[in-house]
Amino acid sequence: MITFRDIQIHFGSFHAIKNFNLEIKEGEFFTFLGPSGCGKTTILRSLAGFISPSSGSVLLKGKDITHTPIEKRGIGIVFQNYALFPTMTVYENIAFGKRVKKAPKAEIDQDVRDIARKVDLKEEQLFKRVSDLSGGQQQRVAIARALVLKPSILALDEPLSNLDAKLRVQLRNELKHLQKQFGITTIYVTHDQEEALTLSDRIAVFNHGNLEQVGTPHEIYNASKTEFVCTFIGDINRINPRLIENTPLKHVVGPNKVAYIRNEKVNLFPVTDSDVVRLKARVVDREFYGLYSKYVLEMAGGSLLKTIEKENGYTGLEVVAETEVYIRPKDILQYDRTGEEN
Amino acid sequence: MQTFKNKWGSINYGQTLIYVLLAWFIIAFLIFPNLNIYYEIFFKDGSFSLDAVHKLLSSKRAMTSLTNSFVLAVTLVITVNLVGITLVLLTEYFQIKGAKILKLGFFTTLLYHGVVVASSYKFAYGENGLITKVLSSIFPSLDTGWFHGYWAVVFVMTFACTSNHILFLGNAIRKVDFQTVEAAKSMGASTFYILRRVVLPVVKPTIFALTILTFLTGLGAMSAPLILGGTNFQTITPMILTFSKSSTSKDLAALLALVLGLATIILLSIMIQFEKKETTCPFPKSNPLWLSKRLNIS
Repeated sequence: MITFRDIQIHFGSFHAIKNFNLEIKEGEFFTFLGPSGCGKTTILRSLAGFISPSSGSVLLKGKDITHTPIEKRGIGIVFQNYALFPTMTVYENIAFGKRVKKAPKAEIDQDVRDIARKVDLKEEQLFKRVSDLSGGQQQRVAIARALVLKPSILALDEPLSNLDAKLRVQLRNELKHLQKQFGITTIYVTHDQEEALTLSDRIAVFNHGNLEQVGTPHEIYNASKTEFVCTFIGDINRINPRLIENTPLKHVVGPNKVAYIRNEKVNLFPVTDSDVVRLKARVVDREFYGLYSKYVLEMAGGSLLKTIEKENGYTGLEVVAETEVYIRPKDILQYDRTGEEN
Repeated sequence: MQTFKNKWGSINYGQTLIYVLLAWFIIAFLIFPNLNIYYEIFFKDGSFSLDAVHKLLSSKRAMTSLTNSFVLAVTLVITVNLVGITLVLLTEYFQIKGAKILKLGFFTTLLYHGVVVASSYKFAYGENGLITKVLSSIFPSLDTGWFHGYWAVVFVMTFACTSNHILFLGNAIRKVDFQTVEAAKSMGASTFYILRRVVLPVVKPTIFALTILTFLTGLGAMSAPLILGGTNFQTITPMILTFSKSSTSKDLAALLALVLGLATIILLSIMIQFEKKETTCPFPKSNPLWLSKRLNIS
């Protein structure tokens, strides 16, 4: 549905986006993920029409929209701070786009009330000032304002970043529900890996203006293609060469490679797998999180490994306790020192 | 601080001295001058009198100056807002080429205001001014005294007062959340529609405050009417100065000052009430206008 073809974006001498190519399918919940300044918002803005690419083209349903005016692209945008009009009521905010398009009054009224109902905004809230609403309600208004114009794409630029953790989780679920309800192609920009993993059908990971990997959340997490993706997503241990020096793992990790293992793949209990390497360890720190505990283990040669263990009523290991860890060689991710996967 | 304890508690001498000085300051410079004005107006030979009011109402010169001041204030509200808002929009919203030079030009009135600005305009456009000489050499029938009176005062004060708009309205426009402008744009709103429906309502309290400020400046104008007003356009403040010099019209000067003071109090009260009612921008301004234009990256 959306195609980015050889997009390059420069700001003076700064090369913000380098040769960007991507296809987004119709109805997908697609996330642009990456750290601040990686170019994810820049790409979203080039799709919305706020930025013209220095070169390359943006296609929507096969039609080149690179130089199409913003309002003719049919993209509903929800901004980071929602960008609601502070001097208007909720109703006026939602009706704004329809009024600009000079729609009949009756149509505006019906559409505003319909969309408000769908995003769970109550009738009495419609005539409140947007500043009188909570963060969650403001987000609904912003989504309603974007959806009332029946766009073919909904673009959300870090819409949850200004909210507290609890509300973020709640609204994340609502957002997912709304996307399924409307079946609209959604592009979501975030630096929060948890948001990306829980919401998306597919994720594009950005770094320094480059596209590092595109894949499903499962692929991104379990089969990270680059060292950047593997370290950016989730908690991970970089394996110190001293740790595996005198172990069978030495032959698993190739020369000139950097090796990683995800925290949860470092097992504190024997695993039912024939190909397992057992290593001696000492617990040097333990943090209890209720559902699970995080352990820091000191391995041979003084290197450290982190692991998590689900709390199943088990009392857990105490600090300074001697223990063993079990690692499957297949769980080790390795990349050559330039960042490419082996 | 030294303290002395007696049956009423401890006395802090340093603190007492500060209170005494403060009381003297308030009485000598705030209360006494104001009471003196009332005394001058309403007491003649030690008894209450409304002679000053009758005198004012029957003095054609005083009443004309009073009317002129209000006419000037109202005119300035229109002209200064017209020039000021246009200028700020051109330099901050539309960001035209040469905006910096234009702003710099208007900022000079902040450096050289009052007498200097009015005099400099007179040097340029007055009877012996350079521009007038050039114009009269081209049009010999031109009245060399053309630059005086109401229009000259309005012209000079309009440009002199616009610096407030550059300072305060410019700042308010820069603080408008640019994402709201982008949101409106993405919904198909034109630049002028966005200006009217999104930007101006947010800066309305600033415009209102500037309007009051301009009105008060016009009402109390001194140097421009004095230098350029001539005999046909006299206003309150120069009139107060003239009347206060005469021993027989001091009460009139005081009454005019009182009128000026009352008008100021009324307008400031309106402004405070308006500010309380109005909401400015209640949202985080994560992306102000000027910043977002420079930082397009995520």
